[in-house]
Amino acid sequence: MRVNQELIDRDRRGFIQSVVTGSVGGSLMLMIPMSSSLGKELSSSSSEAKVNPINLDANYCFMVDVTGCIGCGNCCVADRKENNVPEGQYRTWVERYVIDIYNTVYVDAPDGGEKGYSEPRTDIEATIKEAFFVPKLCNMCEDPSCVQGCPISATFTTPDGFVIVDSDHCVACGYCVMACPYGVRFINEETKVADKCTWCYHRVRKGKLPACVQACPTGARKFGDLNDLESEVSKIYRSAERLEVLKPELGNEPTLYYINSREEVV
Amino acid sequence: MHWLDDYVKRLLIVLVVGGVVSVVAIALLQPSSWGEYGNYRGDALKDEAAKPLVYGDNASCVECHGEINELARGDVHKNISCEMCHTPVSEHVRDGKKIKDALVVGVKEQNSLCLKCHSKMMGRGEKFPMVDAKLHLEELEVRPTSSCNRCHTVHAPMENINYVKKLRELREKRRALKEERLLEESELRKLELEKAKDSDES
Repeated sequence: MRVNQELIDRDRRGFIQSVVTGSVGGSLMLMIPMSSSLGKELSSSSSEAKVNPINLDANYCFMVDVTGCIGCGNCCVADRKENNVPEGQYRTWVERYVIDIYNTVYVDAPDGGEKGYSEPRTDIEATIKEAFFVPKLCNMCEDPSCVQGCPISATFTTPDGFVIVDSDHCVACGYCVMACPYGVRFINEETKVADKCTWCYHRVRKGKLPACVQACPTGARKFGDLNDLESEVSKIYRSAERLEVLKPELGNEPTLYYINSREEVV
Repeated sequence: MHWLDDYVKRLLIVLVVGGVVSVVAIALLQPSSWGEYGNYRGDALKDEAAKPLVYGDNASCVECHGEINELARGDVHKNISCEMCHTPVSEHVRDGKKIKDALVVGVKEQNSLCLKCHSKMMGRGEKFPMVDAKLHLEELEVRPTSSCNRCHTVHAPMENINYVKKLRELREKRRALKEERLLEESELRKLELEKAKDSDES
């Protein structure tokens, strides 16, 4: 303490200077690691994640395992939040197929399956033989009839194979809604233009999985690149697994495959 | 008849004017990015790709909540995305800062959340663990108002169960051993008694 007093007495200006530089320097040193960790957090959790360039080498495909779906409706909830879909309209939904002993097929999808199927069907008199859930979404056709139907090229296939809608250009004529054989398209009540499932194109371009795939607890929904030999979808594609597309006779060439699907599913 | 009659001239004028008007109209009205990738507005593709993310992935949660993630990855709920039961990451964190607490499901809503997947239903596959909640609670003789979390800790649902199972198994084993030993002892005693009797008789 005495030494300090002597220092202050000898050179007051110099003492204050060194105190100030010391405290500024010290706080800077505290700041630097903090700000760098903040930057790291930004990179992965910010909504402004980096958009990757279009991957022309990829052959994206979607697979749905019918035996894996448990009808919890998580995918529909995630989809609605991710894509801001108005209530009562669905980009993706889950159907319940129920077959009785006389082979009558009953299909229902209350609330698009969004609230989950926690109650069994009670309106069927005959004994139920089996039941299964079928998630539905855009088939992302290689030869899409909705794109052919659009009179003003407001819907198109991107170079990496996604069919998306140009919402600024669309005039909501509804031709694509009628043209889609899978009933995936609708006129969005809020934006008043055509809307559809995009396999979360904005997420895929940012290196993430579609929201519904990520939300699926059983892995019934799978998304990946068929050209990547290490991906799960390409392994399934090359395995003996039974793959089917919906309505193949229409020649739309869907790239949405159903694993262990049934002939009753349309 | 001359080839440049009036009606031919008029037709040519109409064609030229029409051509010029359409070229000008295309130049003025067509979006600048038309044809960048194909016969559509190139900016539409860029806009679609640039849409903000709502859901992140588990990697975004791990940065702050690594311990919970590690707990969950070691158990049967390892494939479930955090954001499914809590809120999407964009509602919880923005620009690296917490803006709102993530949803923590309360006791009342918890059972319905669990039963969304685990209620007994035809079509869920035989391997999938399903329960009839009422029956399950009755069978195990617990209070009918118990939440799932009381036994199945939600992040690692089988941890306590496996612990109790192992404990019961060990207890059974010990009991069996004890019984065996008692049996042996009683037999030994019998033998001793018999021996004693024999020696008495002799």
